[in-house]
Amino acid sequence: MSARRPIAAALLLALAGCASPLPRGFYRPEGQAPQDTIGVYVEQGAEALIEARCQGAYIDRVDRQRTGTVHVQLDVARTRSGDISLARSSIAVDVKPAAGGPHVRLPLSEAWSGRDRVTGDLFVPGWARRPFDLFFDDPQLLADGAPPSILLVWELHGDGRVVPGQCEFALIPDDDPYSPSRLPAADTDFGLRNGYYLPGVQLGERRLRKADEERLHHLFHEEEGWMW
Amino acid sequence: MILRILLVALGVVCLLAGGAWLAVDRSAVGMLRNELAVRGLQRLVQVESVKLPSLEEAEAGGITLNDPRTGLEVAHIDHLSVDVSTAEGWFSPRVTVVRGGGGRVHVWRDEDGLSLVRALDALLATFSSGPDTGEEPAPPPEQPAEPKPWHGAPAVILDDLEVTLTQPDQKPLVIPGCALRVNDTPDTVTVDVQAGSDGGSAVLRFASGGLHHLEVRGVEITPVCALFLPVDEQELASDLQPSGVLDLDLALLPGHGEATRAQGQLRDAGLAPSLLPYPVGEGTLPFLFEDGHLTVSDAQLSFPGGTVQGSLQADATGFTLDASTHDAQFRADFMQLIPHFDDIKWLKPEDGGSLDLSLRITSREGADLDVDGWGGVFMERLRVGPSGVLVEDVVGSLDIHDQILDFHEVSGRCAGGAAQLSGTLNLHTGDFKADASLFDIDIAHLDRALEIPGSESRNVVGWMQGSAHAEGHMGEVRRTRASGQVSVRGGYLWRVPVLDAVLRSLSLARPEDKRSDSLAVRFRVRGQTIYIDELRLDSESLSLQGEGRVSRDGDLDLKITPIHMGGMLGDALRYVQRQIVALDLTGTYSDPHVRVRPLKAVTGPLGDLWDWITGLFGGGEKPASPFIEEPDDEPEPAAPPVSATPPGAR
Repeated sequence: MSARRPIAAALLLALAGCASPLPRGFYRPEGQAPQDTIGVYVEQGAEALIEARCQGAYIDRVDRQRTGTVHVQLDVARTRSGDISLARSSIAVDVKPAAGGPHVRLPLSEAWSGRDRVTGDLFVPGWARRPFDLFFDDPQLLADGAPPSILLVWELHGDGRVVPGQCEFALIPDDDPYSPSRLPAADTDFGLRNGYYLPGVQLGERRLRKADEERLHHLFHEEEGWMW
Repeated sequence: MILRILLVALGVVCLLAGGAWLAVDRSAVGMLRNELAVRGLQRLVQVESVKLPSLEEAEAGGITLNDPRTGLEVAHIDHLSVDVSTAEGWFSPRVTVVRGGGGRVHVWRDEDGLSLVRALDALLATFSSGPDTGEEPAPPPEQPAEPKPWHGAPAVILDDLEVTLTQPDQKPLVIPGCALRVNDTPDTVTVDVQAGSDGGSAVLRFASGGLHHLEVRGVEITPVCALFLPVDEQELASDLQPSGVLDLDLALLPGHGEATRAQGQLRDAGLAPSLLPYPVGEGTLPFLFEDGHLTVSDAQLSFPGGTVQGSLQADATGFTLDASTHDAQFRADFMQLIPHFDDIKWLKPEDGGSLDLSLRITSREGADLDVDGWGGVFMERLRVGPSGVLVEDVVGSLDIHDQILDFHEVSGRCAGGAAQLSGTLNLHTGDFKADASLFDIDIAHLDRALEIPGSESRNVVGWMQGSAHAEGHMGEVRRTRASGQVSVRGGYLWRVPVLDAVLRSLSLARPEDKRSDSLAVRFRVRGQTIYIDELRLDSESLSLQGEGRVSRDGDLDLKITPIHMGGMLGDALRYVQRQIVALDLTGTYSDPHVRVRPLKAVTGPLGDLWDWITGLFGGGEKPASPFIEEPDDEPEPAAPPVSATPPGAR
């Protein structure tokens, strides 16, 4: 074997590594039957109706730095008079590492409601519905692969009471017949495929995408450029 | 001998006395009737029979008290016994006690008031004024008169009476086992009525001029009891249909209705207003009527699923009603409370959810009913449209000011996405404006929800967004004006019956499912017709452009131009093909008919040949148009928002 062969093989492997998709996990609510569209967790409490979709654990960039992110879409409807809020400090995800070990708690890194960045508590007025996009960042999130489960926790403040809540999402295996990883890549302008957020698209910098169209949940990522 | 004479004389005297008593007894009815006539009471009181068991006692049967105004029977007593006092001499007998039992009393109201009160007033006036001799009243004495013994009305004790209250358009109330006590004192005649065994009591106090005071304790009432109220309040009571157990203290100044004062409460109260779909009740209504004003304060009434707190201020010029409910359970029949309900029957909520409402309803003479307030609603399930598309967890709020109902941020979950509606309704004119938006609707889900035949196996996919602005007048569909846009992306739409028919008519194979089709439609609504101003469907192998119209019943009249997009040849063919054929799409969504039509470039025999070929795919004679030509003489509505503001974006 010539000396050139291992070098060529190493280059090929490096190229292959560059081209291979970054680790990514798609999730459905724990215990929910498989279906082709994204699963929604719905909790009807006395204070509010909460819908949660886990848009996955993926690699994207924040301030140009590559990081792992858990993305959750939350729709909260206040079904009574009086305002309620989800205390920002109470919102977190408990991530079970793919390599095993104890859960890792990730605090809320960034929150949006429609086109508006939310810097404080997540506020919902009486008899109204508000959409939220929640991002939880951790560079090591996908170091060992997609976490097998993600637990979203929060505290709802309203009517002088504090009501804790949580919902768990389970990883959709790649061999699941409805796995979004089998889907063709999403149209990057529209962003959704079967309700999943930009499947098949390598996500780049996270920032609100400019769009003429009003949507409940906007897009926050451009496709990763080749230079990266 | 002398003894015999004495015995015979005694016998004769006894016979004469007995005969005389018998004669008096037999003629007692006539005597009494004559006495009544002397007192002017022959129409007021009628007696069927009289017996005189002793010198100080009389019995009568079948005594009837009539309304002095109409002559109708007010009361009938089966039997009556009268104690007569001769303390002031044989020729000045005085009735001291009247006892009786069995019989009936009728109470009704006419334009001059209560018949029973009128009859009793007339009867008691007789006792206080003495016989009608027709003589001029005696001049005032120069010297103060000697005090005379009190000669008032006799005490009256009547038992086992059946009292019937009647009023037009109300169910009569019959109270059996009633008892009546009348006690006359120098200042007052007191009438104590016991309504059955446990039906409560009423005490009426009469003084000069008529009824002065009425005290009611624990009397069970029904709407017909409103006949005891002044006329204005009767109308209010007729609207509200009150029932319950009444405690009442009513003070009257005869001839001065403005001085009437009533205070009390209605316990275990129930109301059945005609505008409510069900009665409300199980509450307490404290009320005060004074100086012509009726005040109900701190009232609480239950209705199915909640409690309403309220207060009422009313007078002859109108009323102000404040009502609020908090955290009530939402019921489908609440929809009946919405003005123009008949025009929004395509909205069918189901029971379940919650409701807050706070309203002030003001009615003033000569002015429209004014409703101010706000509310919030949460409906667990709402069916929309003829197919009953399910919208879940609908939440929204509304307010009403100056006859404008403003409903904002009403949103719900629909077909995997969200639907949102906001707008205004002028309650006075019926004019409305609305903005509706759809976000992330899963059209596979929607296709099934619309229950169009074949949806179970069609496997159409895609995600729909849309928005529309509409204006119009409730109940007048032809005046509806709307415009908007709908788009579907990330989809596969070629199994939609209309598009499937297009493919078959063009003899094209169904494109591969890559879930990358996109559809954009811009539309206007004029009355019952939806005009498709622009339709564009793009997929990897074929695109369609079109325009046309769709009737409210789903009848299609569309012109479609196909554009092949497959491969490099697609670009070259696009222009040529657009010049060659267009598609006439008729029929309905689920049963479309496609006629392939050559355009100007292809006419004559070739066009006929094309028609013959494409006739195999459903072409042929065009049926009569199902479209109503909608007038479009009004200016175009304002350009629709390309997309409405979603919840939370404000």
